[in-house]
Amino acid sequence: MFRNVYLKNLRDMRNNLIYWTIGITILGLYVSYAYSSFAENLDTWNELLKSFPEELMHFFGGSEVMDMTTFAGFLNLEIFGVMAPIMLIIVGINSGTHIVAGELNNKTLEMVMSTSIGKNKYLFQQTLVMITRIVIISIILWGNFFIFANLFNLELDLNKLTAIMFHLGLLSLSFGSFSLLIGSITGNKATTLGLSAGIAVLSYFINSISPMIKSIENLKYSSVFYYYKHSEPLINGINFESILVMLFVSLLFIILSFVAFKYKDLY
Amino acid sequence: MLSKTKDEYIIEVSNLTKFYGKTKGIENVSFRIKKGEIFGLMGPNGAGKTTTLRSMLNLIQSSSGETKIFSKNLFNLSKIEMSSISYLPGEFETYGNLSGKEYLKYISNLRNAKKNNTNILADRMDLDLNKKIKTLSKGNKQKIGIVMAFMNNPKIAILDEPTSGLDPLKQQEFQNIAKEQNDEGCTILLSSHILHEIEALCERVGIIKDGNIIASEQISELKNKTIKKYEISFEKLPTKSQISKIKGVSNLDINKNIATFTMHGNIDNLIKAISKHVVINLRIIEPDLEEIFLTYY
Repeated sequence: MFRNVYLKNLRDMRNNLIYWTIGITILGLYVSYAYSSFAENLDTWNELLKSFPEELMHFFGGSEVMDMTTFAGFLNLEIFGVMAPIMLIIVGINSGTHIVAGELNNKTLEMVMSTSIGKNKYLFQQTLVMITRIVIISIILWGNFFIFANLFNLELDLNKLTAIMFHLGLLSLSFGSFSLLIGSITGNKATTLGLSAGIAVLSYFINSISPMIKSIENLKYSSVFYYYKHSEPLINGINFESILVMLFVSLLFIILSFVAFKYKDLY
Repeated sequence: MLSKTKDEYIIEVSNLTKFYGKTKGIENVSFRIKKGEIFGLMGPNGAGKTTTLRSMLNLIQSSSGETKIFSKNLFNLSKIEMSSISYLPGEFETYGNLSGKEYLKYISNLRNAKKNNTNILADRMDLDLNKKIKTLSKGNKQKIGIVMAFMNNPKIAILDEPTSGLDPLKQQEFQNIAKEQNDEGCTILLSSHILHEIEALCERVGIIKDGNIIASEQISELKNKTIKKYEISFEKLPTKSQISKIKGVSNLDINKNIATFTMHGNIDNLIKAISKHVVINLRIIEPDLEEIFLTYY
């Protein structure tokens, strides 16, 4: 496991992944059990939700296709509206920050970079680590809802669950690659974490608020959250345009990170 | 300046300059190191030693100047050549979640190293490689650094304050290991402010002050250029004026038939002058490196 940067960092994330698996499993179990328990009262729930102002529901991750009578609709509001994006954004930002800013903060990067590995190879392998981590946690989340939906006999379209995982993974990668870029420019862990988290919150608010105000409605296109959620992938399946936008944003940040890291002083 | 041909130099640093914004780190630092040499870079904290080493290895971008290792720019070195260079940073930190053995294996793999004498070196440094690094003391962490520096039999070892935090016994063991590696062909660039360590290991030194190299010579030459203290016992003491008029003599003190003074430069005049008298004993007190060092500051 110490053959290269990728394998070493994969090994390092073992414990972290175990904790994520436990947390996600508890969440999946809780949500599935809760939904199956009040399934007979769903119509009342739906009525209650529809009585809330649309703007308020939109702000909390709801949408016009909100429907609590299906497990997918329930997950779409309760899990994939706010909670899952927060979880995956934390994973992305943590991973992206660690690559340069975190290692510089720990003073461990200087030694690694004095070997024959080279900056590009290091960054490439670490970016793969970040992607692997996001993919693994997305798969754990996907697997949990798949298993618990079957366990509690809840109807859930596997293809659409996979679709929202793609959207969610790319949302996470967008913020992870942004953190990687900021870390490669500043080399400062606190700045990178703070700025990335700030941008994530801002991005969420832009997507939540701008559609409600006509004059700034188009601002929503600048938010990655828009491309994550506007097409409702858990209801409507994958949206390739949104996938391409998030892929493009992630790739752009990653490429810029390689440029910034090339000129970064490692101390 | 050494009169060797260019090909004999394994490290050539030319006019290396680094500014951190408007603040000078180093300016026009130049020195050359011959293959098989142990070269010391001396200077107090903040003089620019670490900046020099980091710039040499492109760990920080130099503002101007260049470094050639194996007569090539660092970017043009082959993987094998890069693998034969070891570096021990001054602020040596490792991954606390790994054991010493795991960390050294990782670094060895990143270097693509073929040879590995980790266990022998660890035994010599009394280092338990199975313990998690986060449980080790500063001195024991530094021992990992020493082992790491030499475990792959490097052709070049660049060491920044390598004995920081080590006890005197292990400092001595480090010197033994460094000398043995040097005997096997390892060229060593040693940055330190521990002068007796430099004096024990190095043939030549560069003295760095405020980011500039102010002297780069053999230690013996540095000593020759420096003021020495003389103590001469005469059968019959010459007059004070006879001694004080000898060129270069200063700080003359006469006690019974013993004259004590300091003198700078060529001693030919002194020998000629005292040859006219009966000398019972002549003692020349060589300055140590610390005294030489202090003359530059």
